Amino acid sequence: MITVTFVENDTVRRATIEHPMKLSRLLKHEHVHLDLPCGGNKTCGKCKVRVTGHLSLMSDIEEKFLTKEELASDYRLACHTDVLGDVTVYPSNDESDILSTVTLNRAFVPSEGYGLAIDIGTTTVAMQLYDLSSGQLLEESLRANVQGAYGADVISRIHYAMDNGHTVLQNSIQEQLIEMAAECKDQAKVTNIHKVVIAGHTVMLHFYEGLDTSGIAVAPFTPFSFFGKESVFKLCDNKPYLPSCMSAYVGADITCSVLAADMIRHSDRIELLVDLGTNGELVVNHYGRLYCASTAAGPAFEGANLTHGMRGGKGAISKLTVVDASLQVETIGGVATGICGSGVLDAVSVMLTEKIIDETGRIDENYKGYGQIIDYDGDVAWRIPGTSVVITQKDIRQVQLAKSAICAGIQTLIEEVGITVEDIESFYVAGGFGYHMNKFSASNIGLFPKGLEEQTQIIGNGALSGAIALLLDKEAKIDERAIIESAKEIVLSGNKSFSDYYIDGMLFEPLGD
Amino acid sequence: MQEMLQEISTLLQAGKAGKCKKAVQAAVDAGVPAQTILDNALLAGMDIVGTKFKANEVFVPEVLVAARCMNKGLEILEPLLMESGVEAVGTVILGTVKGDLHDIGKNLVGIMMKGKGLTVVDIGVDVPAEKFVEAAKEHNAKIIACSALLTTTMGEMQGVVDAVKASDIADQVKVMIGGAPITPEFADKIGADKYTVDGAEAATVAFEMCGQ
Repeated sequence: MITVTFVENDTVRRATIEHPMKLSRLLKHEHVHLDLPCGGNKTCGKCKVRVTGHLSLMSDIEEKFLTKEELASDYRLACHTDVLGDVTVYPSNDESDILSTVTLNRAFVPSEGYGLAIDIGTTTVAMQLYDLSSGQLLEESLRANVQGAYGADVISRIHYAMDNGHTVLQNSIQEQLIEMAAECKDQAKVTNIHKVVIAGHTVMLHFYEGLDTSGIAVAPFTPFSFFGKESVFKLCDNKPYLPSCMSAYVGADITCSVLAADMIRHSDRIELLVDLGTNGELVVNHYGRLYCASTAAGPAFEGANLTHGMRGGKGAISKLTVVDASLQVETIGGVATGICGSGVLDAVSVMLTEKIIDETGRIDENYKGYGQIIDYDGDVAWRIPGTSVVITQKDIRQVQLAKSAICAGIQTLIEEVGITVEDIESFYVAGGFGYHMNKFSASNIGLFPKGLEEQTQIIGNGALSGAIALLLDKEAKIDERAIIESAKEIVLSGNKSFSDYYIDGMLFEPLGD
Repeated sequence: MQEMLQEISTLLQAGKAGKCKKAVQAAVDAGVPAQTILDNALLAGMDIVGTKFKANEVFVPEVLVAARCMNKGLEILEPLLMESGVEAVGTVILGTVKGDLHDIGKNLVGIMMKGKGLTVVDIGVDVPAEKFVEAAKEHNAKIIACSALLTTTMGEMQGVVDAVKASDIADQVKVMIGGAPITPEFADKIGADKYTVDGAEAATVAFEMCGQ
């Protein structure tokens, strides 16, 4: 029998396990949340945990992933380490506690009872409880998607499912929604739920329903289902409605974002919507006709690939600005331990403007000014003043790849539709990352094409907003159907224009000859 | 002559395709041997770019524009090299596996291999295992080089290895693999002959595997 002691802030609890097991498995078993961005493949080095006691010896590969400071502070990689005897684990508490911003434009039609609107985001699950007779928001629950333990992005999770079956992924998300619903009902003192809507990426809905996702990960990217129907499973005694997906990579979450922005009703306008987050989806409204695409920009802005990247929660640097020749750094709730999407965007923008990096993205080792240029584990890095948070050269390269994918996606999509940036009258930005986003930073670094600043409207969690619309407005389903009927997907992978724009957009200046 | 070669290398490193091509032609016209231009100007320049890329000093686009120069230079030099009786080092069948559409990395590998004197037959993306084998037979290839960027398509590489083993060219053809999710351990597990981390290494290793 092995005793495992968990020390979290001031609380100590103990558990016993029968025999030795992988640390990552132990943590899952004991419901200690730990993201495994590469799904336990031992390739990303992000599953760091402080742990002491009887553990397997550290391998060379594992050691390479840890910094000197981490090695000195008893950090191990959960998926590389075996628990062989009694151990003590010090989990880190990193729950995001930002409420979702939603946009509600629609007419509200009262009905009886209470309803749940849910967005299963790849990284964050958001749930809101509404009084259906008044349209009033009663409670909200926001949690890191438990599937993070099986991979940071949809491809990693599909890979996990292909190797281990879909049941684990299905059960974990279903259980999470049950828990979150119970929490909302308790807090609001509500006993019965009468209606549920669950929005999410095509892959998220497949996992929820226990459907095979292997067709989605490989060309020609074929989902098992496009949904637009009730779930087979009950949640709070209701069969949730799962809105329609537009394609394998443009899911019900985007359908809901489009619904929230009312784009299908704007048949006299040209508009663009981008949903930033773990995936990068785009929708153009061309006088009522919709065109969609997915750039799969990757989780750079969610932090999985960045040295000090983290979700928008306590300890995350979320904003950097230069005001009166002084660099202001804003951190969510307290001491900065990392940097989230909006912070990364601002940081790179500041670095570019202040020439800490040149137009190719190279950090100037001789820069003197704000913060400090340091060596971070063999990589040159800029330390954000007043913090121990750094942006390394490798981080800059990750950001260059991600921002180029989004921008190239936009340029290709509008080119295929036959319009230009100047034609766009409204630019909706959705996604948890989009909430805090500084549009000037975005255009400065080339995440968005220049010239859209005036037209930008940040709509927050578009997927949740659309789910709420489906919950509260009977007419919303009609619009949903119209959206699906109109939407045409432009596939970007294999598109030569996309490839050219992607390469051209990777630096911070156009590539010349 | 040294100056001309240095000029070509500098232009390549800066990614100036038009000017680089002109400089290569000028060197040829001045009587500099094609092999010398290839080795001491083009490859030398790519080598520097490759080293800087590994050190994160330059980024993917800069490698790609330098490779574009290399390509332009090769357009001029290849016929001359063949004329002068330089023997082909060997033929490589290059492609991205079935289900995967990524090609930027693969294209880079192709250019680097050509620079080493290998004959590269690029059969594109989304290529099923049998097609790799067919192409290898058709072109009398010594190497099959496959790329995958999605973890979900890595399994296809096993298919390629197995198809080669089961074919009648099993003794003539070696399989090398690469791509972001690929690791040396994975290569061992599926029985691939070699794993390489980038285009430059792939070219060097392929060159060696052809008995050079």
